[in-house]
Amino acid sequence: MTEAEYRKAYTKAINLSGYATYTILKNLTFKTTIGIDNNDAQTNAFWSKITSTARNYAQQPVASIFQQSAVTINNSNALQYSKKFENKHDLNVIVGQEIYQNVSKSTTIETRYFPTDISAEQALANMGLGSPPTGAQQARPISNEIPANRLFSLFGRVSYSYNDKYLATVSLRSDRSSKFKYANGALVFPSGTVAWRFTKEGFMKDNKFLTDGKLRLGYGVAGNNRIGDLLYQQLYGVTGEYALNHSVLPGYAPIALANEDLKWESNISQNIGLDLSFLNNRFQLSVDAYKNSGKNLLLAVAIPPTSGYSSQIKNLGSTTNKGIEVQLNAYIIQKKDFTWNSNFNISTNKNTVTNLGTVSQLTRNSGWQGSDGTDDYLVKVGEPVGLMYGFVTDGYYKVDDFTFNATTNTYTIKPGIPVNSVYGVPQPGMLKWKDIDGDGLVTADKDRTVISNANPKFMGGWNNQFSYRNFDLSVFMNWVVGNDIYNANKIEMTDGAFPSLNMLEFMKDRWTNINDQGQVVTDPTALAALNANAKIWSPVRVQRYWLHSWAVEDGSFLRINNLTLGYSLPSDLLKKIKLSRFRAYATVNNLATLTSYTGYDPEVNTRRSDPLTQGVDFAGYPRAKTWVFGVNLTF
Amino acid sequence: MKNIVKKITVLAIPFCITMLMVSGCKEYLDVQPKSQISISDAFANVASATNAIIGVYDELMGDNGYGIRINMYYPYDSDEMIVSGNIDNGRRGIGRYQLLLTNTEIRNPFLQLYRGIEKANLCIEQIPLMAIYTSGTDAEKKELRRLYGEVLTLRAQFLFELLRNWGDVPAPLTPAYKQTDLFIPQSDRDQTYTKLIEDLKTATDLVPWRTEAGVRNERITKGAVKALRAKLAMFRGGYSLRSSGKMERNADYQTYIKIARDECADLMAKRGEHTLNPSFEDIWRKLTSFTYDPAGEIIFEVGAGGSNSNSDSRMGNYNGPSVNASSRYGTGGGGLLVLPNYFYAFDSTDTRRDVTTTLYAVAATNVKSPRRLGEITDGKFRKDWRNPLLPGTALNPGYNWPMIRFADVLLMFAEAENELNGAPTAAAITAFEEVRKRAYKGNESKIGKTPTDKAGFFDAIVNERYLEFGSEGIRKFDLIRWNLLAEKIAETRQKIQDMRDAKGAYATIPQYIFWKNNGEEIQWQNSFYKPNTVTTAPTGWTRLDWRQHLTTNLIDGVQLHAGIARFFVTGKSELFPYDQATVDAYQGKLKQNPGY
Repeated sequence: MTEAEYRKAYTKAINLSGYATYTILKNLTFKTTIGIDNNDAQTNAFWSKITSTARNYAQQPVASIFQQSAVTINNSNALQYSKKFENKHDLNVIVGQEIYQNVSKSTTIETRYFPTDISAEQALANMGLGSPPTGAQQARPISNEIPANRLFSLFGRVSYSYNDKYLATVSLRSDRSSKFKYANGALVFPSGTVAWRFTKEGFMKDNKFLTDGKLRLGYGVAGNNRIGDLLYQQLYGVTGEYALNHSVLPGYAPIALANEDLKWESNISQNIGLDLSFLNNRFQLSVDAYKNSGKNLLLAVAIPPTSGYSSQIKNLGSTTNKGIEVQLNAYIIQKKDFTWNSNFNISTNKNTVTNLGTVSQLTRNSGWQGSDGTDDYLVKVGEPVGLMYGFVTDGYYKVDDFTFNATTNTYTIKPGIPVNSVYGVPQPGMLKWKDIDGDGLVTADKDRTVISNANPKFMGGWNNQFSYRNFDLSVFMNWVVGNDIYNANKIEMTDGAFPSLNMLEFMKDRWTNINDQGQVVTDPTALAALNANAKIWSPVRVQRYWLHSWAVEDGSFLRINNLTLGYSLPSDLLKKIKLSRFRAYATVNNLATLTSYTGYDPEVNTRRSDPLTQGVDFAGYPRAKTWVFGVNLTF
Repeated sequence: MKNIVKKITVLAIPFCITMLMVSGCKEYLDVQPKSQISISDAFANVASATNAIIGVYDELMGDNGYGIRINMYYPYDSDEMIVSGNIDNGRRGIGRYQLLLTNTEIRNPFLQLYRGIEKANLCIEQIPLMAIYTSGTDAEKKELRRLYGEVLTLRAQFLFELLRNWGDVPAPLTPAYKQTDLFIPQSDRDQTYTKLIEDLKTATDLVPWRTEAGVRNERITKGAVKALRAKLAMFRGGYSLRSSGKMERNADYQTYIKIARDECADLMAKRGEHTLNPSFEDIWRKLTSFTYDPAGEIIFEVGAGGSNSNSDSRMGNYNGPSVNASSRYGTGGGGLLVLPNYFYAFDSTDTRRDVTTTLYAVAATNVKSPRRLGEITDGKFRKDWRNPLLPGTALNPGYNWPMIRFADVLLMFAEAENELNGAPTAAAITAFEEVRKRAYKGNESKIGKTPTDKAGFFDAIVNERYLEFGSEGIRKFDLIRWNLLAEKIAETRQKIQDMRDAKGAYATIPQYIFWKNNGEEIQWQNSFYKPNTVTTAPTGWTRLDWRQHLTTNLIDGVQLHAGIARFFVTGKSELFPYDQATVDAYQGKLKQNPGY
């Protein structure tokens, strides 16, 4: 049983990088850098006779070897000129060029129909050992080579500062990507920052309170091309298969619907910031306000499936993020034997969808339910990303909701009580949802609504460092307030949708129709008595998972993320043992979390491939609590 | 000075590289596909174009094609069979006609059929553009024409399936990358049918007959094109649910009935290509043992294989008698239930009864146990007939799906002749009786007198197609094209109640049946057709609820007669709705079918 499913991954990585600089003239240098990353990965997998994978291959074991290699090369060449004039003007100019290339390929060999009791190691070491029964076939080997993903960039940057009072940086960068048609391939990214250190001005000269003060303004554009390759061309892949004479032949299938117009997604960031430090840098305050706008977002957009494709990668829509970040550093106590430094930050962000192309809203599927799942997120213009879309839970059907026919032993729902038609004919103990449109029937088409929002109201962190004589202590806490988590585990593990599925512990208090003697109870009085203390519905088993509000929980938390206590030997002792430093310490990471969330970890996000379905907890790993003991020695 | 020159030289090297890069930038960024295949490479030669066509065939089979969903979920509930189990938002929602827009069993096949159309459209666009299509060798030109004819036929099949289930569907005839607007509007179904019937005429002249096509396999041959053309013409000339919510047929229907008649007549003149297998059982024995029928009765079949959800089928695993996974036959069956009135529609001497219906389940010990009257299963694709045996829990027995049989051609011919002539012609009666005599093999004298008036012959055709094609995914759609679905459902409900109450034609059905095992087989003590007043089992026999079962058997908490097609509403349920995601993707530009 232990090795019923076996999976082992190997990786080999070689990363080389180097640079050379050459001073051509005084103030003028040339720098070239080159980097090569070569990553090879192999995953060996094995499924024994008892696994569902073996089920379709005559209950005989299956093994596969997947090999992947990726090579990334980048090279940049730049000229830098820097000069200081009259001891006041500081000028720095860079111009350069850069290339990037990523090439990857993979091969999969799968062998089915191994001898029934072969071990994983034996099978993987003898991939030729599988032999299909008459009429069955081995899997064909698969190899896939991805076209090179290339970038070509030109860049220039000018930095200037006057007397450390006025500072300005302006840069211009042009990136061209092979993922887009040549005409659409370039994106020009201007960016710049200006800063004014106003404490250097004459009128601030006599000020003792403010040590340093700086006002910053920034603007920048960044691009995103993280999509598949060559999506601007209509291409075939060899993914089709059809059996003639019961023997499967490979067939061509279009990979995706080409979109000739694909171009860079761009993200414009604007920010204004203020840095202040007081009383000889004892207190430092930074406040930043920002507005980031994403435009021409690269998204898989649902298109009419009558085209033959259900989605297409498009540049669609825009979003904005506005927020404020505040950071405070304080050297609160600076005594000979005792110091206390504190660092506190807090931030809030507001996300808004500002445009979705030709529509005002669309639904997305987080996908944890597999291919049969229905959309469970809503994206809507004017609203933030991360709206969870589902039914509103309304407990479960009670015996009183039905009239009982003693002749046929059947329960018929009383008029006026909404019928959960998604789960079939209601019976006592069945999960109940709110009938939002009031038509007496709960349907997936009409009774789902926005039930929650994955975005936090604010978040932050607080770090404190203390030292007392030779002891030092640091405590770091962080928190998030106001976000909701879609606890998909709760849905899966209470549903009984498929045989042999585990249940969460609280399901022991579920509604039941079977009494202690193992008999089915149909009498209304007895059934009501049997379930007088039932706390939750009975599993529904409809082989379809639906989001309903019961599965959404508040994800707010306060976590003691790190606690470190150290002791250093006194210096006179160190001199005797000829050490310059000796410190012993103990650290606990993830010491404690204060949260009402019932899953493993409130800092969870398991469906990250789609940025529009954040906040799902499905089979997320718990966060490890780690203890570290250590010694720092300096000779 | 020398130093500066040296420095400039050193600088010049990377600078030159950079300049080369800049000038070569366009070439550097011009990336070619590696594993993928460009359209021009895909249609460079016959072998590659064949791979593209295999890709089109691909969309016929699999769980979302004629592997289970289209052929085993969509045709029920009907007056012959129903889906087993209590209602859900999947296949039972389809069977009970409670179709929610989020039913994924509706969406996935819809997507697959349109993928098929898109793949076909790419081939239909490209094949005639291939240089060797006009200037290749004769062999190349012939083969490419065959491919072109096949792909026209495949597109017609995909669209036909969409038309009969969804009505006025969008019918894209050019590949999506050439469409200026992906919001392809809905087309009038009669126009689409007419276009497809023209396409099939073109295809008829391009593909070879079965015996001229070389190695026998599941590729489309001339017989398949002609039979499909006849079938489409019958549907074009039949009733369907219009967007008005009314069941109507176009006034020009006789034109199409004529096309169907002529195609059938052509096929019937080519008995060397396709004719009836002399034994009804042998059709299914051959299909379940992966043997081609020399008579070629199955004119068009969808190939299955590969033991996966994409290229293989689930018949026998999903439907047929319930077979225990630990038995020597391996798991199977139970997904479809034969209605009691269907079992009793067969004459006891009709060989089709015991092929089409099964009264047993197989236990882990291989021993058969009987099924009660309300839980009879179908039998054409039974798992225990598979040769070689496939023990264990495999999902894919690998049976092909028969799309059109020669019996269908004979009965379409008879139906069309009757319709066109106002009464059955001698040829129509011969064709009808040919099917019937094969069914009554050994008892041919019992086929009864064939009606000679139009209405009587039509009713006989309706009944004969009922008996001939059970579980072949034909009945529901036949009833719709005759505008008889609502009537037959109502009739079935009444028949099952009569049966429960031993009334009318069903007065003789026994309340209980007594049985025992004889080896692994079942031995029945009393007849299914004679009343039996004994209620206790004689020694050595076991009592089985027969008629009695209809009083206790419940689906969704109601009796069988009320539970079948429970939410069927005429003027709505004859078509499926477009699913929610399709409606959403169309952004308001798609007209939902009536009633949804």
